[in-house]
Amino acid sequence: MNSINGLPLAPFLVVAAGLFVIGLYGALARKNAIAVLMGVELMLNAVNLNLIAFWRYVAPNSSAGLAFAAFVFIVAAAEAAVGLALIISVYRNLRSVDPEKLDQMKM
Amino acid sequence: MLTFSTVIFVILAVVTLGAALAVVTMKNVFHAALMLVLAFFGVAGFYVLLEANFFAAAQVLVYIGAISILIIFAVMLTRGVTMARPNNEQSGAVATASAVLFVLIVVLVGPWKINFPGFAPLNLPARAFGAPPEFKMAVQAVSPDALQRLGRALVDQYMVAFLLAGVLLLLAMIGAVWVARERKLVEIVKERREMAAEEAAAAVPPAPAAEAVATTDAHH
Repeated sequence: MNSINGLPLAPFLVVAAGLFVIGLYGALARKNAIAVLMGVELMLNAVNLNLIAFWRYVAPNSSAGLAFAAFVFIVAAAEAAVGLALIISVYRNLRSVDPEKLDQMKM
Repeated sequence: MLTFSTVIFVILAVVTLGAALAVVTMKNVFHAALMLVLAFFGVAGFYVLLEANFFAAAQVLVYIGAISILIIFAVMLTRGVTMARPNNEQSGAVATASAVLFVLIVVLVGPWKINFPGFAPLNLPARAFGAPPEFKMAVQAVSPDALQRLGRALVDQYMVAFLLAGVLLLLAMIGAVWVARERKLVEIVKERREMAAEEAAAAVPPAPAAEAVATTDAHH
């Protein structure tokens, strides 16, 4: 038996890979900084899905996979809070959330 | 063989990937944020399928309950923005690169090889990197006290990481409040004037500036 409930591991990994590349596209191609953050959240979700799928199929008796997934949750929450605070601060100063307009630090 | 789990999996995959595609393509950012909630729900469904019930609950609480709400708040606080186009100039190239990356992950890293040893498109992984590891052993059941063991591991094996995570959350909270704080107009005007003065000082040619410093030093 290489599966749980008739499901092998591979489809989960393919869905996670799809979620990751969709998030990558969103993070690189969007013109709104909030949408860029949404892409990053999708990528973090894909990583978490991979971690939990591998935990379930390869090492369900170890806590390592779940612990890493928990830390990804924490980092995602911190990243979202700081990222959105930055975006709101930028919006107050520039009246724009376009990442391409943030070139004040260019020499 | 079409089991109940397979049907659920296919529905979840379609909903999650469809919602994710909507997140990155929708013109209206608010609608994209709502689609993001749907994608998070789909991932929570996958956690249930993978028998990680605690993480399904945490996904709903943390991602849908906290992060999505934060994103929706940010969208509403930046309402005045209208974009001519939702995507930037390099979006076509990025889409191509993402699609290529997806194909590379699926074919080269080879999740197919792990569970379907007979099905390997072009047999690329075996040629390029040698035969990939196949685990033949049966998938074990999750022990009923998995969550208790996770909790014990967090304060034992991963104690340092756990403490650092707490520090990270505290710093992120303080940092977010500090960065997004409402500032008084007086402060902003003062800061702008200082910046303008610095820019004016930088615009002066270097030799007279050095002279000026020298004279002020002599004066003092």
